[in-house]
Amino acid sequence: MAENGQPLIKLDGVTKVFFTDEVETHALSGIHLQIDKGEYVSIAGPSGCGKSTLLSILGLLDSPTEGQYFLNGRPVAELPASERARVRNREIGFIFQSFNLIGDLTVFENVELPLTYRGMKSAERRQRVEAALERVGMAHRAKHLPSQLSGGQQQRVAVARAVAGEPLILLADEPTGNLDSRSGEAVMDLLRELHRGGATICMVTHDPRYARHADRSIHVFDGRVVEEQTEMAVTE
Amino acid sequence: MITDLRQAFRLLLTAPGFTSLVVAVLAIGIGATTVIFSIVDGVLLRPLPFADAERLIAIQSVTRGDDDGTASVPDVIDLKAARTVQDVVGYTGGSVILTGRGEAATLLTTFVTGDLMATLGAPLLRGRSFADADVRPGAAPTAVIAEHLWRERFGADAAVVGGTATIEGQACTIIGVAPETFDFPIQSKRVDVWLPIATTQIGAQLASQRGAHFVHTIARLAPGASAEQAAAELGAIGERLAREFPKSNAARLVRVVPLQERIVRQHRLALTVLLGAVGAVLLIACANVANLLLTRGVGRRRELAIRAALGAGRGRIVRQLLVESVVLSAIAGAVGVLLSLWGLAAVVAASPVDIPRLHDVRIDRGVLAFAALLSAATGIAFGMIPAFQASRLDAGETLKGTTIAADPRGVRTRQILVASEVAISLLLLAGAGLLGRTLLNLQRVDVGFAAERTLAMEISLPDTRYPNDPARIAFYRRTIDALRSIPGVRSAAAGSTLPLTGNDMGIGFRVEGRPVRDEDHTNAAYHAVSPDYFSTMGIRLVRGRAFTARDDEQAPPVLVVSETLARTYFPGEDAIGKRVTIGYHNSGPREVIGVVADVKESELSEKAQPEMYAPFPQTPWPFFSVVVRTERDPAARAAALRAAIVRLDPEQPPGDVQTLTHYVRLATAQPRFTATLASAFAAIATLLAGLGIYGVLAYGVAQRRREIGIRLALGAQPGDVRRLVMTQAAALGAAGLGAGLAGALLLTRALSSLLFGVTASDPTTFGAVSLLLMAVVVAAAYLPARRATRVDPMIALRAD
Repeated sequence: MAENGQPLIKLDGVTKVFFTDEVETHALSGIHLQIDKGEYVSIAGPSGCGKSTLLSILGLLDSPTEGQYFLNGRPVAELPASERARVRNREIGFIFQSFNLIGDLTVFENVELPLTYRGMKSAERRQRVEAALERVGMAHRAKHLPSQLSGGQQQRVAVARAVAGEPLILLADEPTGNLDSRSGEAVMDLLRELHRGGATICMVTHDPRYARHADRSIHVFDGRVVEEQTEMAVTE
Repeated sequence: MITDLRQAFRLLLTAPGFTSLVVAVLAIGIGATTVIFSIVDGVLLRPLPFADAERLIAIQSVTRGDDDGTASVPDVIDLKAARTVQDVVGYTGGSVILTGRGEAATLLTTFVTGDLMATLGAPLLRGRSFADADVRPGAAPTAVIAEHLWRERFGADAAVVGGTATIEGQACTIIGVAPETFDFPIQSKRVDVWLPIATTQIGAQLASQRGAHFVHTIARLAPGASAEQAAAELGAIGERLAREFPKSNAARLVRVVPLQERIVRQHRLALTVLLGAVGAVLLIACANVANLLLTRGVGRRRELAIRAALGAGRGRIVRQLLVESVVLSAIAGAVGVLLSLWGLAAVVAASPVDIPRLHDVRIDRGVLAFAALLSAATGIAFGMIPAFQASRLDAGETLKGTTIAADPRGVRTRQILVASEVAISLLLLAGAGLLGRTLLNLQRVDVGFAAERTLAMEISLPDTRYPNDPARIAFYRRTIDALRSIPGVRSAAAGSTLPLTGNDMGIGFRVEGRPVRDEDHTNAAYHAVSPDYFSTMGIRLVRGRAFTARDDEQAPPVLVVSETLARTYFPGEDAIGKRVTIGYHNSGPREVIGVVADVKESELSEKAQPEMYAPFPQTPWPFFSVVVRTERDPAARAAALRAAIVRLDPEQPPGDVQTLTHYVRLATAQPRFTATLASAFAAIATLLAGLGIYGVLAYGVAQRRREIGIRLALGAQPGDVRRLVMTQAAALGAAGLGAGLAGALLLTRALSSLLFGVTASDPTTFGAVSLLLMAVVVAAAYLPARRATRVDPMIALRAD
């Protein structure tokens, strides 16, 4: 639960329909979902089931066609674009499957990027970036360009970028999808460590091995939540 | 090669929008370059239309420090002694009146001291040219007429040679007809008739004076002689004349320049500047097209990779791409030539400048060959970089699809090209700005008289009907009285010449009581004027008095001088009451009775020169110009002016009636022509540079969509993204501006002699054009920046 007694995330009958010419595609149909502060939730399901659409709505990259979305008790589904950007910047940390580091920027600058959009002072930014890189074990690579790092290292930097702003929730989209198994494990260990430190994490994955790391696993099929498993059930 | 050509055409047809854009951009560049090249070729480069034109020279008798100068007829006769030249001949322009062949007409005339046609190696259509006997003082009057006059006034009579024409009231034997292909001197209006210099009384009178330096002199180099040898020999003769005739020649020296150089020299810099400007526009067009091709090359990577995978070597791919470029440029060249036909006509029509041979400029085979070469070179120039860049791609990676879209090398090349476009645009804008300010400064120059609401007309009196001073003075008085009585005319006056009309007259003088050294050059612009001249012209009287009707031929000789003359020759003294003897009409010393404001005599940019005015009745001339000041629109009074002259003397053809504002405007014609064309080229260049920046930024935004999406996903506001694009634009603009400013500071120095009232590194102009260009950069960046803010951040969630 959030500090105000509300769940950190609450989706209430969220539906997403894509309209193309004469075809209506129902990506999500009446999703009800709650994520509490400090929870580690995984969203699983086959390709095209609506996982990514759900994550994009959770991350305020997209809005629902119907239904309500409360983030930390505040309705956010209808926010104007600039306010959504502000919420994304301050309250949500993204970890993408393809890392999404900007090739022209150094590791330090990549991690610093979301903080610059807050208008944070340089000294504070530096402090936060150094701490975040320290946390993921990439401080020694601060001056490198992404192209000089391995995939696993790039994803660690992406994690550092996500946590540097101290968001309410980390949204991870297939964070191991572009990594070999060893690097994947390392990134999952990092997320688990963050969770232990109090971070709320919502991760999309189709890999059951990694889904087990979560406290709760939600299965999506044809745009609906078809099953929810707690940590015990997941572990079994 | 055939396959390459076929594929090139097919490809261009499949992308009509791209093809049209490239053809349009290049056609503008090629068309504009072709227009200016045709003018440069026709005016500067093409040999004069005379036999062995490169052996023709101009012999200049110049006052030390001057660029050009004329000789006296006795000087010309002495110069004939040189062995290194032959057919030395002097000539000067004027007009005569033809009567008895329809309405009386004023003929544009060239008076000669000898056989001008022999010097120029120009055969006549009929008859012969002047023999020595024809040009001797007292010889029977003879004339060579132009073919157009022969057709228009003599009905192309085959028996015209040997017949007579009434010129200046006397029967002149027509000895020859010059063909339409011959025209000399080369000027904007064709010469109607060539006459011996002694045909008129005034000509005969001046031709006998060593001090009357009024004829241009040309000659042909003798066989085997070089221009240097001729210069040395003629220079030595000049030195001898200076020693023998110090009063008239001490301050003079004789110089030799190729005839073509003398004719085109005053236009060389302006035309060269315009050619450079238009070349820069073409360069920008090439850079733009290279940019477009680079962009398209990205889209064609897969196709080129397949070609490479199928065995096409790098050279083969480069060839294919170059063939495409050259096909594009060939189409653009054809369109450009069509544009140039219209453009040349427009430029010639808009050019009031007396640029020699401009009206004969054509898009001929030579110019077409230039356009073809230019098109081919252009195609290679803009196609080379994209072709080599495209040929360097890694076929394997491209076909696997793992290569990311953005090619840093291509991006850098595009950025350099665009920054170069900005730099060149700045250069052109700075040049155009300086020329524009020059024009503004010239238009603000105080000409010293009030040109508004005035009309002027030249009148030339034939010797036969006005053989002496009393006759001339009587006609002059009757003319002024007649003009004054025209309704709507406030005042009327006359002057031997009027300022800025292209007719100026200089005269030597001596101040009473001062020793005169021969080498001193005491010369002033001179006008013989009527009593109301200063008030009618609006020339301010500074001190003393103006002329009155009492200052007539019986009255003591008097003189009015300009402020500059007074200041120069009577420093710290009062010029009023001083006595000055002028080198015309030996009427003894004249008393200075007034000082008037300075007037621009021949050019607006000239420094004020000494000027003097004498009463017309005291120094009458067989020609004068009348000027009237009207109550309202002067143009409405033009017909009345002509009618008044015809009423006075039906055989006296009225001259061309023009407002003085027309002449003042003509005085800015050359700078206006240069500034207008330079501004047009700068505008095109800036537009193309703006398009180039737009293209690079739009492409950059398209290439960086994912990055922009990531930034938006991480919480960037639209303003942050807009700033990102604008910063890139500003960086490109700043790089271009920096390079452009450096280049402009160096290159605008070449414009110095074309500028007036502004320095070649004028900070205001440079600042203004920099701001303007930066505004263009920002405007060009606006759309890509706005597009960038509309990137869907969802793109960040999608895998590569």
